[in-house]
Amino acid sequence: MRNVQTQAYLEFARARTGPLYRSACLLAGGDTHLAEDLVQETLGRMYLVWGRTSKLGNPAAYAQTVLVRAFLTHRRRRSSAERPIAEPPDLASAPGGDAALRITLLEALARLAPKDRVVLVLRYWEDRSIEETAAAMDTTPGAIRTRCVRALGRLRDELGGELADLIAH
Amino acid sequence: MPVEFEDELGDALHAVADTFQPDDPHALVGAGHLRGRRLRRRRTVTVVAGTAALAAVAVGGVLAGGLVQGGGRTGGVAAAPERPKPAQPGKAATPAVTGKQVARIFAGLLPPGEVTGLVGYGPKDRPVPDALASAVFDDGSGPGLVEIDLQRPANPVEDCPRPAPAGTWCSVTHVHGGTLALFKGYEYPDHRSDVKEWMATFVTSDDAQIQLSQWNAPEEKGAPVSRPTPPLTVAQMTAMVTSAKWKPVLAGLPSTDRPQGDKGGAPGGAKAPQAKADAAAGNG
Repeated sequence: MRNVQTQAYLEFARARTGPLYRSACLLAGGDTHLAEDLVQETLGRMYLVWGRTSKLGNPAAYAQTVLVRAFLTHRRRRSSAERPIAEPPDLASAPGGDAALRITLLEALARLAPKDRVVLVLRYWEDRSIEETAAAMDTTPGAIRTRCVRALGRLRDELGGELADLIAH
Repeated sequence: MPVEFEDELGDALHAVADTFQPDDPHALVGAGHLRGRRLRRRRTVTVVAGTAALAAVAVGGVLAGGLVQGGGRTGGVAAAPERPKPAQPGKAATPAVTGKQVARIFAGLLPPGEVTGLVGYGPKDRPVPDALASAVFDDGSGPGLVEIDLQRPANPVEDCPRPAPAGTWCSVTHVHGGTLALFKGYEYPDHRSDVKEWMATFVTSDDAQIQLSQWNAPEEKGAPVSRPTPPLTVAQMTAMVTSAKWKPVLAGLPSTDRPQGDKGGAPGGAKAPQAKADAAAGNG
């Protein structure tokens, strides 16, 4: 990669590392080690296509899509060695955050199927449209609508009535 | 589902996400950059060699009978080389290549054997410019993952690592402006596992790239070795990446302009300084 491109790539990476990391943490259910690995993989994949991104429209959105696919690939590979996260060590350690909300929400997310988690994160954290979410997950808008309704239902069951109370506090 | 819950969820996700900050963002950027360079090395262990002329005679017929010339045979006996008629560069206004199309061609080019887990992706069904397909192929001696990736422009070209890392083999042919690079190595350069990765990369005269990778395991990483070597021979890999059947796929890839001044992927063109630096660092 030419120097000017490398500089542009590094600038992009520096600007997007924070948002990518936050998305990755939600996808990983609070597993910050996995989140770091997913961000590294995403930035690596972006390096591969850098210089060819002009026709992709929005490199930042493309990077988020790469992140989602890296996460789903990771989950497929690790599905046979799935380990439930009962008490992730990092969940309550955020400075300035609401620890109860953080623990409750991340644990509930971690108990969802990976694709359910992805749909909810894309729709309600990244504010992606149904169509954009479908494109990111290589599926149809109809399938996303169905999965989204189910995932919301499952998450609400997991949370009970806690979410509103936790946010209110 | 009450709208209130969706609103609450959005608020909660934002509140929780905002509490996450990477411990060392600079280190994360550096690690991602390094991973990208490694990935690029693996994709571009392609070669421009001054000694290619003799080898070009040996495989020139395959190329001329395949993608470059547009003949029908793949992997057969060499035909007489002719001046190539390049496929139309990817000027498609809208991406036309579907994953099904790529997967069908890919499966059709595999030799006789069992094909499982066949998948394909094209720019028509996802927002990336590449087309790719993969499957687990078993010729009777055990399953091995095989993947093919088509893109335009081609990645920058690198020399074969010299000296060749232990246990690897690298070769290049250079015919009619196109480059065929073959590489046999390991998934992990430090040989911490016995998973081997063999690659064949063909860069056409109009700067498109077809790259095939295969492993002696049903997965690239994390699966035990299932056979001594990957399933396809050099001749079979060559036939697959030079097949004329890829021409409509290459013609249907979206045009992704090479950045101004970057001649990296042009066969026989100048090598990007960074690519040479990557090559010097090892063979990924």
